[in-house]
Amino acid sequence: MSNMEISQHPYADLLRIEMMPNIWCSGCRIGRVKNAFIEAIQKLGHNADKCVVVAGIGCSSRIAGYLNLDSIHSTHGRAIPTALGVKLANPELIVTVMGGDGDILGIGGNHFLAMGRHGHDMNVFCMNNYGYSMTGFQHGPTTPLGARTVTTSGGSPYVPMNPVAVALAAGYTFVARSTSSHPYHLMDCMISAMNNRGPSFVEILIPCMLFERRNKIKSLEALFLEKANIKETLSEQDVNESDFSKEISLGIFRDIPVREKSQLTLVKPTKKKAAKKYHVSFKSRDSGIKHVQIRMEGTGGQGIVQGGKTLIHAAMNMDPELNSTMTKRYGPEMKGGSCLTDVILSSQPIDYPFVEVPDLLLMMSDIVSKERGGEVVVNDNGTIVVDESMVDQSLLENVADGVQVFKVPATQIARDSFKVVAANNVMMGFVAKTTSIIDKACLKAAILGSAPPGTEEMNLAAFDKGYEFGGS
Amino acid sequence: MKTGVSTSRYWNIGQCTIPIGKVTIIPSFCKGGDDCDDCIRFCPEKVLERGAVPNEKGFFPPVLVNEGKCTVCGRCQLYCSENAIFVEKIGERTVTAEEIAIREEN
Repeated sequence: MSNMEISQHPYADLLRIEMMPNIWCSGCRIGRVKNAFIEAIQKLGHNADKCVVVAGIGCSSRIAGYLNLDSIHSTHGRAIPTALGVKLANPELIVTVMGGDGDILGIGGNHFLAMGRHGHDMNVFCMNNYGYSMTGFQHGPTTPLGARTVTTSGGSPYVPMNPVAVALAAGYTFVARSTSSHPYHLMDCMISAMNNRGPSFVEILIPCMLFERRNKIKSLEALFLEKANIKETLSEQDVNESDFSKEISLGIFRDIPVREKSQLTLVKPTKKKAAKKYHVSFKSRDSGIKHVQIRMEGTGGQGIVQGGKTLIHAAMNMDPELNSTMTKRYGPEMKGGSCLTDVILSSQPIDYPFVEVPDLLLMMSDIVSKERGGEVVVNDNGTIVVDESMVDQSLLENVADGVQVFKVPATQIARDSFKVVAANNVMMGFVAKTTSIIDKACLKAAILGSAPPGTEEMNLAAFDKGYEFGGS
Repeated sequence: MKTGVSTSRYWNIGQCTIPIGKVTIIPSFCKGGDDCDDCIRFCPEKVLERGAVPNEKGFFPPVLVNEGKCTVCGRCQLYCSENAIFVEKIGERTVTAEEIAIREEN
């Protein structure tokens, strides 16, 4: 019966009738904000398919559930990042964030600040009811000084935050204050906010029944109607006049066009030289690898992780059928700490991505072995490739007889001929020559793919140098 | 009007029309009572009054007392948080001389 009647309501197109009646308390005026929003959309003539409402958690965030628009009820405080994602995915949409003061200013405060800086065309309608009312009225960022809440039973000792002042400072291009007791003014503010092409913020003061009862206020709405003063032009002093016990200044504090993005001043434009194109062709083949565990270890800064990446890319280039994993372990230090990379190549699915006993161990330095107590962990039939110039040779005395040991002064070569950073590519070239696991062309292609622009030549020359060293 | 000249001189009363509204109240949605009563307070024509029969939730939906007086200003449907009331325009009527006299006094 009532559904029949509500379907004739002028707002019925934009209301989710199956969700009605709504959950708000008797005397709560959040629904009036919803009505003003519906009227604003109807007046602007927006297509309902182009409007999106994103809300967080809270009493006022329930608006998104009662509007028959595309809406997201996101997590607490993260309504603005969710809306930003919607806006970036489809910039044609009119995205509106609805939320309370606890949601937008308290828990999502950093997102609120960042949105003013980013400057996307989104509207934030923040319903300020002076606390966290959904959970029984706890103290929030806008609770007035001396107000009683569940958590401040002796009166709030903190000066409240002024959302309008924060929004002005954060760089919002449209800032206004209104109350739910002035729905026609609120509607005008919403229309202006939607017409503004930058980030818009409207603070809407709403009366909360819990706040009224706890603080023995007879009717907050009557106070709003009595103390509020709608002004055409607002001064700086009006920003701070938001105390309902004295005077409230309502109106539009700022309505400016979006500032044009100026040129980046810190980064000077550089002319890019036409880089020489390098290309290495390779052939994929069946590698015949069943299960190979490769570990590359050394000091942070030697290109250990980069070497591991080169190895795994080369392996994937060589045999696309191969399963491979790469894991890296290093400390918080950028340079100088122990660092190792584990690469597993297998024809079977890989269950465990860490190397237990490596078949091929590439030692760029001895720091990992020394941390382990001087032990070199390698398979009895495995291979060790050692950087002669960095590893203490006495460590290699205890390895099993079946282990092949190859020595190359990779860091020395790189330092003499190129730069120290190319040491890992010298090592790669040496590995390509001495072991037959990965093809030379595949490794070269992998090095080209990951080398920074302008350094391809040096890295390839280092690889060739290592390859020649192994051939002698 | 402070001009001292009766505005009815410039008005052709026979041509002035006012819309007639039909007010629909959905009692099951209403949360009226001491806390709310917005539709009753903000109606400029005093069309509504608080009812005596409670709905199933214990709230008191308003009742129509001056049904023909509604001028479809739409205030009740904008002010009602629960969307429990709305108005539709069902016709138009000409302005009576009494109504103009009342407005001139104000």
